[in-house]
Amino acid sequence: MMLLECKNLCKDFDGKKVLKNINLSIGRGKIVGILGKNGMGKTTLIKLINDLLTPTSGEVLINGKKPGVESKKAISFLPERTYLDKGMTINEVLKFFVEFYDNFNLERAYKLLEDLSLDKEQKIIKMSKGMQEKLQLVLVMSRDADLYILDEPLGGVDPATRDYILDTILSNFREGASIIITTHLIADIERILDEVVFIDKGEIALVSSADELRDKTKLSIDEEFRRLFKC
Amino acid sequence: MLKKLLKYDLRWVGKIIIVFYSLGLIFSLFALAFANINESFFIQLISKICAGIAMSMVISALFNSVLRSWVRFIQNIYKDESYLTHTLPVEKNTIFLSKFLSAIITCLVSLIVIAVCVLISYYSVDMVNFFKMAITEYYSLIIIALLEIIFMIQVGYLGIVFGYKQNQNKLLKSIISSFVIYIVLSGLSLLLVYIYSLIFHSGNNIFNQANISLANAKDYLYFALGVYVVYNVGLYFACIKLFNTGVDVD
Repeated sequence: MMLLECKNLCKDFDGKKVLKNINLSIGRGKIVGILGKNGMGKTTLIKLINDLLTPTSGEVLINGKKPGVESKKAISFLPERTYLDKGMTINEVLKFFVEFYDNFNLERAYKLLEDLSLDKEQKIIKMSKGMQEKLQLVLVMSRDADLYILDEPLGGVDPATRDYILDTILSNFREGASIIITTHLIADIERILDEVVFIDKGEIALVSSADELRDKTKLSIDEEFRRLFKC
Repeated sequence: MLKKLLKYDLRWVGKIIIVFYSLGLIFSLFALAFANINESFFIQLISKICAGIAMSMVISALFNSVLRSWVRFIQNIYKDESYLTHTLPVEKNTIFLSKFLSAIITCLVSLIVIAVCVLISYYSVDMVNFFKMAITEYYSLIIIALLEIIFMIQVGYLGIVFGYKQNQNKLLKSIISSFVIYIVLSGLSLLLVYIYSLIFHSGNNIFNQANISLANAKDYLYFALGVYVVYNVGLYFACIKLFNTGVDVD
């Protein structure tokens, strides 16, 4: 059974087709990059997988089941935006995650937070946006999930922080789990990808193993992407 | 999971309302204290001002309970925080029930605090007797008031769920939907009471009387109570059904 399957998935907004007939399967133990220019449907696809949007037609299956309580236990999701209650302290947020997610590893979270030198009594509202994003990454990567979904984790951050984010992802995900990363900053992440999915105008333009694509085209994934989707 | 969600919802709504409760109770005690110092005009005036402030605080608490329950619903279900709410391993029904129960609990507590503040601020034997009579004689009116508040909260939720199913002007459409649902259902309940009076009280119709006694109105109150119960149950299941068809977060 595949970890994630999208079958004939479509999403319309006011009659405008944002995603068109997406068919996609993702197995276990893979790092998959969903790559595309801005506004091509990457985030919409991620939202559909996470039950944040309702499909116009088609279906999403996680471990063979429609999105629900079981799929939410299996997926650890990092959205583009800050989703925490800003009135909470870091300790309160940790407590919240421990209460709701059986697979939340508090020790790992403490260790990762130590690296950031964050005061656990600090309120989220008093943290910079960058720090809030790092805190969310820590929370997401502290879960022993089957599938980590990271929506634009590198968007709007400096190169040093990008390295921190990628290192945190690679050194903390559970063995046998898969990771989906959406981004338009392909050069930064292509070294870690096993598979790539190119999305263009709401459709899947290409699905390939990262190595096969590089061998076939003799180009880096970034170069191939630029060649295919040149404006 | 409901208990956990409810704890966070109540904490969020409560952290502001508790300030109003505290101020209401403090000023009620001031009002009582000043009222008992002496009968001078100035001292009695201070007592009345304190009582007025106490009343405005607790009534604000009640309004805040309702408004904050809607704000919490929008923020948690459709705005930034929805990215956490909808990825929690919790059934959609449970999420809705938690919002609904937290709103009812805070409104109920607000009503109790209002009653306590009135009793303290205007404490007298007559006032105590009035409260005793209200509880024994007018309990159906008190229950209707509570059901009306629950009805308003649910109409707000239903309007929000409708409005946020649209892709544009979501908040405006939520407000318009809520308003229309409220007016239509309130008009319908009035019509139902009128029909009830025509059928069962043709000789004793409160719609034709200048003065209405409690004895005359009792049957109507029970009927209205039944209507509100049906409305609230219907609205709850309508909200759940619509909510379970899925959300489209911002």
